[in-house]
Amino acid sequence: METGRAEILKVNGISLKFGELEVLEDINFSVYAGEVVCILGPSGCGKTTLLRIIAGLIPRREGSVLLNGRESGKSAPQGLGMVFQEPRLLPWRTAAGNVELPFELAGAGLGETEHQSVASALAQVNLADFAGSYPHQLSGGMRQRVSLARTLVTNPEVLLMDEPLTGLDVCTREELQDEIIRIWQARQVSLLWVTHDPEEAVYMADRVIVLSNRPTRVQAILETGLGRPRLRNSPEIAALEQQVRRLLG
Amino acid sequence: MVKKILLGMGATALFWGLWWAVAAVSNSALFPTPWHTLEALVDILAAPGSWRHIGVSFYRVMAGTALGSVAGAGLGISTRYFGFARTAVGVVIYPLLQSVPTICWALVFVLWFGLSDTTPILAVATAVAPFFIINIWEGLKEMDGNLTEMASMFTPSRSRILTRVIMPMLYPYIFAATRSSLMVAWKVVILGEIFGAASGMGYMLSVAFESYRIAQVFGWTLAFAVILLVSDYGVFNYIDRKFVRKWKPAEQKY
Repeated sequence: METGRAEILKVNGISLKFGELEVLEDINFSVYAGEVVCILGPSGCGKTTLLRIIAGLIPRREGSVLLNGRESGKSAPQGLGMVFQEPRLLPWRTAAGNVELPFELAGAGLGETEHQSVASALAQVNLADFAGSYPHQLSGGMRQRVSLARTLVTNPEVLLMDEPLTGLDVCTREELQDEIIRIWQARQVSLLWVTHDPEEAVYMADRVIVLSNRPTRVQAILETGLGRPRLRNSPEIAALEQQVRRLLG
Repeated sequence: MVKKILLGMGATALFWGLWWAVAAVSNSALFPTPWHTLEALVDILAAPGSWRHIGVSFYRVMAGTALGSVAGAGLGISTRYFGFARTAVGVVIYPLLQSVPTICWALVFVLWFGLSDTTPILAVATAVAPFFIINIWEGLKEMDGNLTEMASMFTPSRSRILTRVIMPMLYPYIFAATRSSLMVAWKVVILGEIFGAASGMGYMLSVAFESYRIAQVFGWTLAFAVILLVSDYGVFNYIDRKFVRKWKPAEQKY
């Protein structure tokens, strides 16, 4: 895996203490160009916290985060996009209005190019017909698609996904998993995906980073070695899932 | 719906009936009947000078509310960004505005600015500013921090986050503040004009009062009540139904 692939994101010795309590202890891993990496850990182990440190939403005291070899500063680094567990849409804006937000926040005018990338991002998440709908008119899955489109218009190199499908029903979740894989294949983007669901991790990932709890360390990094498209019920996936579950304990 | 309309008509009829009964029983020049009051109101509205006075009061209400809202909203929002502002507003400015009666401010302004537009406008501004401070405070407290955090992923610019995300979240609170403010502003303006101005509805009210024309006093009072009811029930209810209820970011978290 490592040979010949560019290292996009390097997480270097991240530790975090809340007082005496050690939450994260010396976390190290890399994300390479065009791969899907899942961070899997028991709930409450600090995987969301880790992702938020990488995103620059929590100040980092120890360790470093390198994006394309450059240390990321204090604020949210360019090239990183984040999809949160909740869609976090502005309720007073339409789907298209929400996807335009990153351009407005960046201080860029909304010209022809911007409108085009908004339209194509919405089309990519299959919401072209819902550009004028307000969040309260959309289903939970559709809202999360809007939030994905909002991040896609910034052309991130790494998409940080914080359990983005938790809280959706099983059908919607599986549908969105496949759709995100399709989008990932269409774009030059790496995914760093936090989840507590071993099945999701194994189905989505090229590599699964299994975290231990108390203190949280990288317990194992597992290559799934599976091609795509994948079959949900294949014996390979079932075997990997068993292996991951044993690691989680 | 029909029941509501019937009830409303019944209550209105009861009001006018009671008024008429009290006036008839007292049979005094000090208590004009609804009929006399309506006559006086028509006379007032027919006189060309009256509309100028209504216009002057309207201008003072709007100018005072605008001044008070900008000052109050500015102070309220500044508490989010500056610790000093938090202390200044919380410990000094808000309690001072809240505790000193508006009439005292008005008296001081008469001493400083005499009988001019400035006096009622400033009186209104000091009366309405606290509404904006407290509502924006409330809004900031209730604010969905998830949305500002999301926005911070796209920009380090706090001013753009303020204008695109925080201010729109505060609109319902600003609307509520504006609504209560205008009700209070009209009352303050009338009061301020009674002794602090040489024009406006309050001034006309005091002129009628001093010349002992009771029906005119009632007529001006009625005109004033009608303006308030129309603005609050007509205009603000409409805006509320049409726009604000769809907004409510505090109750819908996506």
